[in-house]
Amino acid sequence: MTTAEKSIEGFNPVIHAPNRLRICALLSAADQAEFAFVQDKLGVSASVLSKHVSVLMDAGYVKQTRAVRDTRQRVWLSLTKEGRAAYKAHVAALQAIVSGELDA
Amino acid sequence: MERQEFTQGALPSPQEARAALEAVEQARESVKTTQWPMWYFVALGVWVAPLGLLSRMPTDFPRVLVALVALMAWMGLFSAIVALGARKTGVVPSFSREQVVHIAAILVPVAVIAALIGWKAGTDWALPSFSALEGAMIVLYALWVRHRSARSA
Repeated sequence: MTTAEKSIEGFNPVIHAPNRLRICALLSAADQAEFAFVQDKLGVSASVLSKHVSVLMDAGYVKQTRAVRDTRQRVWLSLTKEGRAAYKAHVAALQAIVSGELDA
Repeated sequence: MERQEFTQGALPSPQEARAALEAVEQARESVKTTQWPMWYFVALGVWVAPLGLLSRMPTDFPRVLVALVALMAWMGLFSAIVALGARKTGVVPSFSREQVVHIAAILVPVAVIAALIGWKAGTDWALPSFSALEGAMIVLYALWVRHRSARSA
């Protein structure tokens, strides 16, 4: 298999949607991040973020944990092992496209 | 906002890929530059400082049980400090390669100084002085990171 073919395999349409790519990038730099933190950094509404998180969760890339503190429920997001691998492969595919290893 | 959806087989152009990579870097940077409150590092430094006294824990029964209970309470306090810090900032950043290098760069001279103290004052003092210095270094490192962030802002 050539380098280019490997890079094409790494390209992930589920992750590549702009907001989902930014969610994955945020979570890749963290062990976990609170829903409100991700929302603030992305500058999107809770419903928009919720929709993208659902897509990533359905793909098995993101998991969420709920913690109740002071009667307020907080949702924490993190990348799964599969999500981290898929994100890394996707970034590698993007780098390959930029460096001209692929015919886009 | 959502500008473009990609389907399987439709790859982005090099320009689009470059823009996506820039967005990735910005997102990662926003996590790296999130500052934890200063009280967190002070609390962590104060927590680490007396850890060296573990070397003087009693080993005879039943005093060892009391020491173990105290140690478990101390570990619980650490979890509480980290949880409070995470709640305040909303994110638990992963260790970056740069931070690992910094930690190693701090640990090595601190260990050397603690070994020298142990050599001069007696080996009983090596671990207590190591943890006390490490606690102080955590606070100093946090101050240095803040100073550097303020200068680059």
